[in-house]
Amino acid sequence: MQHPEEGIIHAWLDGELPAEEAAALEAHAATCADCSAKVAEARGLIAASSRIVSALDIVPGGVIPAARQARRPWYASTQLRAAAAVLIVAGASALVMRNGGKRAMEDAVTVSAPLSTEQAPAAPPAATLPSLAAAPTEAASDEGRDVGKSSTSSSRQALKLEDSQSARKMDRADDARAEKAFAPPPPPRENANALTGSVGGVAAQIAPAPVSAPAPMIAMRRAAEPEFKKVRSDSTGTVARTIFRTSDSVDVTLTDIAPLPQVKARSVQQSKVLDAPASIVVTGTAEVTAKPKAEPQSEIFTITWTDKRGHTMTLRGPVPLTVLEQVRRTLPEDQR
Amino acid sequence: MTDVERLFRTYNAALVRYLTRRLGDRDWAEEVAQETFVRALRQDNIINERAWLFAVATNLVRDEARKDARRRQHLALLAEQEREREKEVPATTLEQAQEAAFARKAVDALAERDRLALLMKEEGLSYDEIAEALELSPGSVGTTLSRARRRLVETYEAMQRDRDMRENNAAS
Repeated sequence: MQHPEEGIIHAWLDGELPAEEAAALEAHAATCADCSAKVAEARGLIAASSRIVSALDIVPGGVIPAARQARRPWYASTQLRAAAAVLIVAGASALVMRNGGKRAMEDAVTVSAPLSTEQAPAAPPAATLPSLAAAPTEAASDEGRDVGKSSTSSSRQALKLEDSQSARKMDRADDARAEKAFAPPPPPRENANALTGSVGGVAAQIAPAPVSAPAPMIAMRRAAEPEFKKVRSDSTGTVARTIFRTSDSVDVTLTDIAPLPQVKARSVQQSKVLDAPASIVVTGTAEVTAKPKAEPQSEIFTITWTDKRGHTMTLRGPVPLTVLEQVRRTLPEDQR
Repeated sequence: MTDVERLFRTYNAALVRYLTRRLGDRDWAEEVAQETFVRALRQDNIINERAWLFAVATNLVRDEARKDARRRQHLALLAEQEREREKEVPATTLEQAQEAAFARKAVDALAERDRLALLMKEEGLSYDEIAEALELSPGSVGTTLSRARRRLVETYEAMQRDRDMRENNAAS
């Protein structure tokens, strides 16, 4: 057989060559180093162009119908979405509970719902974003690095381009929080509003912009853009619970409570405000990971907010607030 | 279920995706897809449905044809239901947006025939179907695709290199 043209190689890889020709090509490629290199290159081109074409699906105003099995992200799973019903945005405001002790955490739990606080065992997270930068043959770790790199630059742009205002606002809020870190906490509601930038009915403005962290956490946040993997989710009636695992194998629990017809979201929230815990301790993730799961976590943070559907959403875990915030940002928009 | 409904349910997602990738506009893509199904309704002997639909949709994009408003209303309803089912809007990060912008540019830089062949292939059309839809000879589809893929990837990677260089310059 003569050396096949590139078009024939693509046709072969696309499964479009008649069996005879395919067999001949295969036999030839097995003995011809040149052609087997061309085949390898063609494979790479096919895979890379598929990925590039798929990237077109990110269009303004949403995502066009995903190919059913393939490109559905874990956080868009049916259970997660089914966990929600629709309600008006009534005074969407978020509440941050800083929790200094287990008791306070239990309080929070009693307020939101009767929930188990158990945590699933640790496992490494899976990579979530495909990197178009990487050649298809590159290893996953390379992709991870690429993603990390470009996301830092994206964050920079985010701050520069659109969100400089809100970012400044949040910076101020965080500065204030950092100063008060070891002092009695400010009224939780005010605090929550500062964090979300949304007061009374304005749908959550927490933009995809990075939320600045109190000083001790900044370095940590830059060091690694964590990934979150949904490890479990269950639902009982109006309460759905989903467990996310961070790249440090720490579990964060998302509780999604659909409002009962007779209970107003507002009053549920109010009672939480009253139960807000009393102190904040900021720790880095390194310390958190060092602790085995079985030991009581001394710092458990909780973010509570009312999403666009009116559900009371609670994220709780032994991770800094910024990490909770990052988990929150991975949720579908109407749950944020 | 009427025939047009069956066609719609079978091919709408792929067709809209193809058209959105082609046009960069979901609403426009849905309009064209709906018009395509309306045309299918008026057509008797369609031998290969998928090739036919993709060919007509491709031509409609060229022609900006007028639409049959009455039939489109019904289809718009179906499309709405379809959207409801698919309502999953993952957070679009800036990083993803940039990937999409690069991809858009790289795809737009292709010759029209190469681009259409590639987008059809990505929707699972066979070489024969692509040849039929684009009026190519079946034997040339492989060459068309290999050229499209090579140019696409090379253009895309060139843009990435440019960006990385700019970032490195900015950093130093």
